[in-house]
Amino acid sequence: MTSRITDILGLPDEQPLLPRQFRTERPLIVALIIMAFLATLALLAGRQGLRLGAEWQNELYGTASLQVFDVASENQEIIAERITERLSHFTPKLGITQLSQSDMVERLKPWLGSAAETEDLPFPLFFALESESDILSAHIERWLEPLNLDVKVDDHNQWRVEFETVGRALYRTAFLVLALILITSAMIAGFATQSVMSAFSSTLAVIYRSGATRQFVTQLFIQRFFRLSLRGALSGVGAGVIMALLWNGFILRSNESLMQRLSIDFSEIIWLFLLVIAFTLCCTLVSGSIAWRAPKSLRRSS
Amino acid sequence: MQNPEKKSRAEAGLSDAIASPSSEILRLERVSLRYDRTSEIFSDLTWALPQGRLCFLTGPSGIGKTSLLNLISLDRQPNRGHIFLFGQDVTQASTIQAHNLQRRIGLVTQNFNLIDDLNVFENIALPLRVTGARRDSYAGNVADLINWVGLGPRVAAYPGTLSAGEKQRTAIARAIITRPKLLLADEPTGNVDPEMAQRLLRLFVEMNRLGTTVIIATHNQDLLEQYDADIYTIRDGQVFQTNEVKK
Repeated sequence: MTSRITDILGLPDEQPLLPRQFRTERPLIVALIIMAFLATLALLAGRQGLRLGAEWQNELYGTASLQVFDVASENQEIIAERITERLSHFTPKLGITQLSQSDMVERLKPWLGSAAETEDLPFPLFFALESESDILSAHIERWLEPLNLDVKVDDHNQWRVEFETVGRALYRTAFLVLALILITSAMIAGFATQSVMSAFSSTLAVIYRSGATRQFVTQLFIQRFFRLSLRGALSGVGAGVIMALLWNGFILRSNESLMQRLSIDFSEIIWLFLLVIAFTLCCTLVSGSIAWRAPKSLRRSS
Repeated sequence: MQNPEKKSRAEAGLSDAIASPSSEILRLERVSLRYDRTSEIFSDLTWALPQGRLCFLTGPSGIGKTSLLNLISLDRQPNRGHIFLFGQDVTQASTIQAHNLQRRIGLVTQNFNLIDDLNVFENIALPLRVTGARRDSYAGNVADLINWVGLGPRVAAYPGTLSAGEKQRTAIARAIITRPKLLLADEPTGNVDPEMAQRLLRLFVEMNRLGTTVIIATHNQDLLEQYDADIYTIRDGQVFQTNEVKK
């Protein structure tokens, strides 16, 4: 309809009130892309930290080790049989595997080093216990009390707490970094808004003088910075995802590496989507709030 | 020879303004303005202007005509005193209140204040566009006004390519497109030929006839002699009604 009337009257098309492209637009976009890229990596690392803590805990869930000390070598077989027999009546049902002395030596070697002599070490009787439900060391120790043995059960609870703590620390640190990146991005958008307002102060003064409300002018900036920050966020997150895929596909060659893959599954995609929204909103809102205060600064400058 | 009818109108207007502040569109009370410590433009200036008048503001260059328009248009704050506009003390007004009052004032400045990135049509339509109105609701009126001020062939031109006279006509068209309550024009005919000057002046008279109070700052004596208007002269930081200039 509009174009029909303007066509009939031979009028030119409607032009944007602010120039189509600011002089500072390209550096701003680059800065926003870098920030969104770093935010993506921080987010993926934080999520990975949380997942890692949970995985480590899961690996230890339902496992325990049982050591029996001060058992003469000639009695070891009898004691092992009595323990196995006693534990077979324990609830929940346990899987019991006795480790031979050679198995234990094999497991200790990486910790003791090549110089250590293991032959004279007093090895305890050692059983690996497994269950489908959680195992509590106190329950098993109490269950074995009638055997009157020096027994020590380790349900790895201390490690699980530490893994959980480490996982949460990684997660929180990464999200703190993410929050700092978002704040910095918003500040960059705010600085760019001020710079644009300063560069186009005479244009803004004319727009205000022509009767524009502060809502109208704020809306101009919100629209412009929404588009800019959305572009920056999408490009930065896209670059971050590509980086994560490169990391998983080319940089990490061994699955046994201490460094972890940056998983990108459905939940990560949801988180990345939220990141784009948060990033765009932070930048847009700061830009809008600065534009909202423009009449005061314009009046002061006059 | 001064027209007695015009004189009585001016006198009646002044007495009305003093007697009945509610009929005033503008009142300055003991207003002082200085740009630096030495030069004082206005000193304890008191001046009232009734609603619905067409008036010329005259005086030699540099006497303060533009400064007075800047005070009235709220583009400058006085150092002292009070300015009442539409019955409201604007020296006490917040930024937002001042801005709302400014929206009721049409202003034509000497430097035109056109936006370089907008063409003639968009510059003139700006006051309508910023209200959020749809383009097709005002396009016809804007086009009519553009033709009226003789800018029809230049509708898509940008300010950078316009002559001073074309810029001036664009600025005037923009100032009157919303039919403001108060129209301030600073040397509005300074850059146009006599024929166009007459045409623009007739536009101001027509605006005034429709109820807009018009204040035109000019040093063009020819204009003063042709129109039935109040004439005010700035001298020694004060404003005097001097319709005798027409003699």
